[in-house]
Amino acid sequence: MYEGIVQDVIDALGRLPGIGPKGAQRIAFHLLKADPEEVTALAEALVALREQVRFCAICGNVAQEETCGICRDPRRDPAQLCVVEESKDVVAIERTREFRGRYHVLGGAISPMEGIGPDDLRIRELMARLADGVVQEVILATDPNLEGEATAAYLARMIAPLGLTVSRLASGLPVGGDLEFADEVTLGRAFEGRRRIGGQG
Amino acid sequence: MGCGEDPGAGCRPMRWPGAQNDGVPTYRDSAVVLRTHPLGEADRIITLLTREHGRVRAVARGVRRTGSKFGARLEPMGLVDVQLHTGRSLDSISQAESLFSFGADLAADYPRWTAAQAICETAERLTPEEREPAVQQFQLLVGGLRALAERGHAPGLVLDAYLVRSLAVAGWAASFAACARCGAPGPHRSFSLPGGGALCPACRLPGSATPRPGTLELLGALLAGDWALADASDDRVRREASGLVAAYLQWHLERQLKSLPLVERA
Ligand SMILES: [Zn+2]
Ligand SMILES: [Zn+2]
Repeated sequence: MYEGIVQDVIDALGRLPGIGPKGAQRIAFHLLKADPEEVTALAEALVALREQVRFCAICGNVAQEETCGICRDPRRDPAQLCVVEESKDVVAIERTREFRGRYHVLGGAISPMEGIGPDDLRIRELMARLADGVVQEVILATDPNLEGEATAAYLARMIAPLGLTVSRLASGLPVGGDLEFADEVTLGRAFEGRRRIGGQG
Repeated sequence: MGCGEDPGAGCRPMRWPGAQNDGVPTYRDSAVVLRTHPLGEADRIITLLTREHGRVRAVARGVRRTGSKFGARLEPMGLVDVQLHTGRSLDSISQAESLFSFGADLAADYPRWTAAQAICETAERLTPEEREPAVQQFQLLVGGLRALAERGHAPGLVLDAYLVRSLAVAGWAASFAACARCGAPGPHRSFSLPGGGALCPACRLPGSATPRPGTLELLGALLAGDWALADASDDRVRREASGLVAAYLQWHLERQLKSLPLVERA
């Protein structure tokens, strides 16, 4: 245990995902030795993150305005909608340059054991978006793990009565992994080879 | 469940020195993956219900990375053969072979998947002590997941059968026929959780429920494995039975199951 502020910083860092107690200690001492300007810039970026970044009113992606850049971009195809769990998955798919449609960010996957059900995700918003008839194909790009598969199965069943084409990213993605860990080539291929799981057309 | 009640099933010493790991004790067991948590950048903590060693939490390194051999094998609801290294706080998984994977099949069927989640959460909650052998809970878990995957019975019935049996194995058996207090043969009209189940008119406690005549019969059939009777039950009886089972589970567990309210019942 360190005194006061040092321990406070270590504790705060240690609560972040992916950082253990040793890593938190290493980062805290790195910050103590670092250029004060760098540390101030980091602190300001963190404050701005919470104060200025919000979630797109249409798709749920992170945005700095009411809506995100992708939803505002008129060159994106409004007939194709790709459903992902998190904003980081949008970034991963954008990197592949395979997809020119728009996104819908659910905010997670259905996980009953964690107490997360359909009502805790942006599924109602998704169904509202699909109701106006503009979207023709829904691509379910939830993670290639069980919760992602179960969420995709739930959504496919919800969307089926609308008669839209529903597809799922092709296998070839590492089972049990997170979408963000898939490399661009694999993810791009999964997109190209997506398989239809519902609907006509 | 202690070793004394079930000699031979959970007491076999399974630890032996690892040949390739310079004296770090290793052990091998069959297990069902109950849940996983991300740890650090690429690892996961895997909660297992093992056949011989009860519930064990162990680290699986590198499983979230692309191309990990373990990633798919250590998915929840998988039945695996694992080798573990004993660690100071957490054991670590050094090998895993898939024996059967229930998960992929169940994830494609939402009502069955939510029932399977409730089964896994119950198995975790009914084995509160890590490393305390719980071979009957292990067998019930595998049986419950298998029955869901085989699609022979409605998922809600499989779940309720699993719940009444696992509660009974945990030492909280309820009587669904004979009077829980005096043993007078049933069927009886009253049912009371504080009273231990069905109660005869003489033993009836204030606040006892009066379920439909078929409901206690269904619960008895689920406990005994009388599937012909259970499959023939009607929806109202099934709904009432599910409600009683949920209350029965709640009565014995301090915290409510997170997954139970999210189970999709037809
Ligand atoms: Zn947007
Ligand atoms: Zn009595």
